[in-house]
Amino acid sequence: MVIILVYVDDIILTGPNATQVVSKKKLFMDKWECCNLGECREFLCMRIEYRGGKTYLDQVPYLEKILKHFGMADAKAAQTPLPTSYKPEPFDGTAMAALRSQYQSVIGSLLYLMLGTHPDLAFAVTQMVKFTHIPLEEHLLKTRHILCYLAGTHKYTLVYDGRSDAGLYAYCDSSYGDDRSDADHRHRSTQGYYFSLANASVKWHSKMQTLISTSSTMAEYIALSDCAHDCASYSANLENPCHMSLSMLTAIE
Amino acid sequence: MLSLNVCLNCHHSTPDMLQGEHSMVMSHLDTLSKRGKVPEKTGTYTCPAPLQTPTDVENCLMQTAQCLFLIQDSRATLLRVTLVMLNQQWKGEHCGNICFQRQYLTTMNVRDWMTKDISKLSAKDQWAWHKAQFEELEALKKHNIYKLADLPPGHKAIKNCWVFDLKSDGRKKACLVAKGFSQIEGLDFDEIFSPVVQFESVHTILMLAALEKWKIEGLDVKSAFLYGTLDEELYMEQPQGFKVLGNEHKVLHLKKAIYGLKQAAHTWWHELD
Repeated sequence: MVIILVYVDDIILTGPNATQVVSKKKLFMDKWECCNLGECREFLCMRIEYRGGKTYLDQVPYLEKILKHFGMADAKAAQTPLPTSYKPEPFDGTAMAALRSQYQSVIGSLLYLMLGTHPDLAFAVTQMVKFTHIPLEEHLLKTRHILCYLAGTHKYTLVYDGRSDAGLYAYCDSSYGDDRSDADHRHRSTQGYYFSLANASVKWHSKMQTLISTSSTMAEYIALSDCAHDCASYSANLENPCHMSLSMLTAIE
Repeated sequence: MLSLNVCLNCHHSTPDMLQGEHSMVMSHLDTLSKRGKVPEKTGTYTCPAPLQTPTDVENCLMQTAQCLFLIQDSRATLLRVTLVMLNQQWKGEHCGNICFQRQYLTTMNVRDWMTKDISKLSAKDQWAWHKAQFEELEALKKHNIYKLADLPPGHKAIKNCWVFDLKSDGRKKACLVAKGFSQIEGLDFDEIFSPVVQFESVHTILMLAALEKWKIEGLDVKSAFLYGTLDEELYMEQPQGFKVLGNEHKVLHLKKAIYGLKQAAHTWWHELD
């Protein structure tokens, strides 16, 4: 079995049988003109490092470039991605075009970092993403706060240490009625989850709930149900092609 | 005080690249006249011949001295006078007097892509970029991308432009890009869906590899989009500055996708499949 990941022209091949992987790679190289990168060190601007039997995944070079680009390379580190109990207020007017394009460019970079290697940004970025079409100066300032946080934590990496004793753990939580970005000013709740498999972060997510809950318990249950759905589909996706059976499946609220 | 002449050339003689500016000027003038605030000396100027290249625009500028575009600033109070010429902009602010200053736009892109007007560079630099252009054309020829043909009636040729990139190691790369935005859905392209790997799959596979001590191999397909075979019958104009002598009126019949086409990613995915 060979597992192949393709992102347009970036390809990763891996599998249990090294000779099989190499022969598959050869097939690719015969059919299309390819650049052989050997052992994969970079994929989609994410740096992959192997040290002492562990795999490290980070976006440090990209992040440093971004911080420099937005002039935040020497920023004072912030402790949290967003100020505590900050609730962004929506804005109804028309936004300035210059501000909007600047905001979109920051948000785009932050989204990529969040999806790539920064589960810690999931909440902060999804909060700020909602204002991409009509940002305020205030919102831009808060994205700078996220950049300050990144300036302090830019050396953080995801570690895949190959510890097999831990199964799939899913952590989820929700707030209750804190989100006012809705067009009808209804109070919605925010939910988030984080999956860890074999002691490694594999999936994370944060979003506004589509249902309106009438109690914090209801909000929590909606979050838990969504989390369980994704857990089920995730483990099914894993089991089918990889023949991995997940005996330990723990959901923690 | 400089008199304010506004370039009001007819529609057909506005160069393509200035169409947007042109319509903005028109609508702005319309608003101004409704408010009774038409600039005192609004001269009308019609260009003798269609403006096609930056040189034409420049010549036109030389002749009329004040061939200007008026557009409104985002602050609404300030008038900006602009003439966009590929990568350059003449910019001035209208506050009683019109001053203009020549300014070069800088691209903020992280990867530093640029559409350069290489005719403004020194002969040596120009030659280096031309060499890059030749290399790109060679690559296209090698992949058997297109064939010279007459444009059949009922078809429209897609325009193209050159994009220049300075790689981090100093190599110069020119890329011929089709202007895919002029393609019409249903006629020039159909399906443009092209799936890519999800981040969670990447994380999961890296986790698996670490767990099972698998080796991870990387590959990078060179000019991937040039492998996708096109289903649609597409025609593209000959690349700017590289027309085949004696066959200038002919167009290129595209057999494979090139960068910039709407379906480029889709055809590559199809090929891979």
